[in-house]
Amino acid sequence: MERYEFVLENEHGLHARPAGLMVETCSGYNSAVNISKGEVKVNGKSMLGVLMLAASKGDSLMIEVEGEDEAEALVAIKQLIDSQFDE
Amino acid sequence: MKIKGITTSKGIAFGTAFMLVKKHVDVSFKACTDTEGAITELHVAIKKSKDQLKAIVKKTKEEIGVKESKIFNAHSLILDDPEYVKSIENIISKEKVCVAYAVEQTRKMFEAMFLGMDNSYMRERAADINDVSNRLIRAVLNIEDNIDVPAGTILICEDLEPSDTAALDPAKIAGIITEKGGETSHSAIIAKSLAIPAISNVKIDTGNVETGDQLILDAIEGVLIVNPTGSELTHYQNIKEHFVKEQSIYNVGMLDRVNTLDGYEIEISANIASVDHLKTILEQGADGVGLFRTEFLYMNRNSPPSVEEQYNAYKTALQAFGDKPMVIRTFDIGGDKRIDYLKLEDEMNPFLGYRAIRISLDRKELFKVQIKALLMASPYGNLKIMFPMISSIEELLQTREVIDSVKTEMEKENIPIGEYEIGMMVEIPAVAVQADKFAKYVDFFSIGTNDLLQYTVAVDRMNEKLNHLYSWYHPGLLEMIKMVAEAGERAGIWVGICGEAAADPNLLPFYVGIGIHELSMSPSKIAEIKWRLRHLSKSEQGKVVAHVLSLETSEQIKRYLTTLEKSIQ
Repeated sequence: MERYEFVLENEHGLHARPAGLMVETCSGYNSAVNISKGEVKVNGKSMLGVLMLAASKGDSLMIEVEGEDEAEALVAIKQLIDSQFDE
Repeated sequence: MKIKGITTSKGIAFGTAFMLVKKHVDVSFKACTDTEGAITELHVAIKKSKDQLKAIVKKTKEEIGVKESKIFNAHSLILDDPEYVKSIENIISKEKVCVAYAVEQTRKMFEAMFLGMDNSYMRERAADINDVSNRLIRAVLNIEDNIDVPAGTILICEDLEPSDTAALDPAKIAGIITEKGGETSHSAIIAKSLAIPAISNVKIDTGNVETGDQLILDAIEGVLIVNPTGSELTHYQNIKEHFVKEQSIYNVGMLDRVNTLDGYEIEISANIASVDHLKTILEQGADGVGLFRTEFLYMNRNSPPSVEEQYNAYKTALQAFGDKPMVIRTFDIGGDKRIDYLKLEDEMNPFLGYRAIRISLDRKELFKVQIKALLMASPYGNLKIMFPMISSIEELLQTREVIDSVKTEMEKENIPIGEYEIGMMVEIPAVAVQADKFAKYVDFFSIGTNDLLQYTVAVDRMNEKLNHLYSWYHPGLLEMIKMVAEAGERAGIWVGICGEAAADPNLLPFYVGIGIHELSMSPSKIAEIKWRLRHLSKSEQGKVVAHVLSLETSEQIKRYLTTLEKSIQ
């Protein structure tokens, strides 16, 4: 399993548009992706789940990827995070 | 037979009644033995719903707007959501139940989760879960609402939801009658934007109207006439003709600036709250924007808008209006406008509390972002920056200091700044009576009659029990408006009015008489107000002003001005 912890930097947090991009990226891989904020853990492939995190700028999030393509998946997710969700 | 209602979109329509009855949806517990078959059924229904949504997105984009179509894209994403689908599948296989029941249980669960969040943006997502789940349930049960109506239909229903309106052909709808929904409901907004006459709050009982009945919809007075007599038909044909003619009379010269008969020029501008539909607002005759409420840029999100985002919005608006004036008011948050991410404390008297410029001067970083965005946009048009809720000279001076410090920083970074004016709202009685002192520090005043009235007569304008006390004909309010106009005159600055009273035809003689320079209002009122102003002479209004101010009660003033207005037509 691959793990990655990061602080959300993008201005508007993970609401509708960035959440959609996150779901799209995670869904492109076979590995299971979980995102957690504090004690709440959600499925990274679920729009409702990611929205429910209500993550705002400055929140610390943990990504867990598990499966055959976990390494590639994490690279793609990191890229999305580093680009601040294209904002 | 006549039935009363409330007008939500003005006009007269003749047509045939069509009752849009939603079939009862059965989501009660039903056991199911073939759970695998049920899951297949679920996926067929998801596919069917997604196809419907795809068509709706396309239609909405073409007929209503891109922004309105996005809501249906979001619905489609929910149908793809693994958590949503898995939850329905689990309920089916664990509880061995039918699909409709499982969808309903899942809907309830997500609705509760979203409603429980301490963020209004997220709470509003519950409505999306409901709309899309209802669509899915109808797909499962093969319920098709018949909204394929004949031309000339007057639609009668409980209320229209976004998905219903999107499924209708506007060319075939002559009028809309709803049992629920007010002036700001979804159906009212759609009816107005498509210029279809509509009334709401109509009590429909079985027996008083049926599909196929001939109807006259009088959406001027708010009356529905069922199976009219010959004389009623003639009567309403005349009214409709008059209404259409009146509209076309107003349209003459609506794009030109207004001079009274004796050459006094008044600017008639629009109130706006976003940068959508700017072209339509110009087509409705706006000479400029008298009030751009920027707080709406801060709402329905998780964090404040960035410099870039605000700059783009202001630039878009300024460019659309070219050299026409655009008054942009810095955010008026607080009062009745709550924003979760700013974490404002609950207050006993929010209208007398932490709001507008008081927040700006307390949270300067937030305020500086907005000022910077405004200054960055200043080269692109005729910008006038306005501050809300100024109650003292100190606040005005502090505000100017903030602008100066942002300006200095920008000059260091070599960011170009254009010309702009600085003005303030006059909405607090203490300011109105000392307007001379404030006038020294600003380029213009804009009188916000809604707040000025509620603070002057000490009446909460949201309190329905006090409606009779909240009248903008109150002699105290009118006296104060006159004081502000005179102070502006002495200082050589322009004075506008941007509250709801600005669009009251009865008050035009008064405004012209005291020398108001600008009236800002809802764009739909502009053509009519311009037409009325062209029939007045400024020189004759001095005696009207004197007479108004000699009267003792709101009722007397209202009666006098109404009679006067009727005599002008």
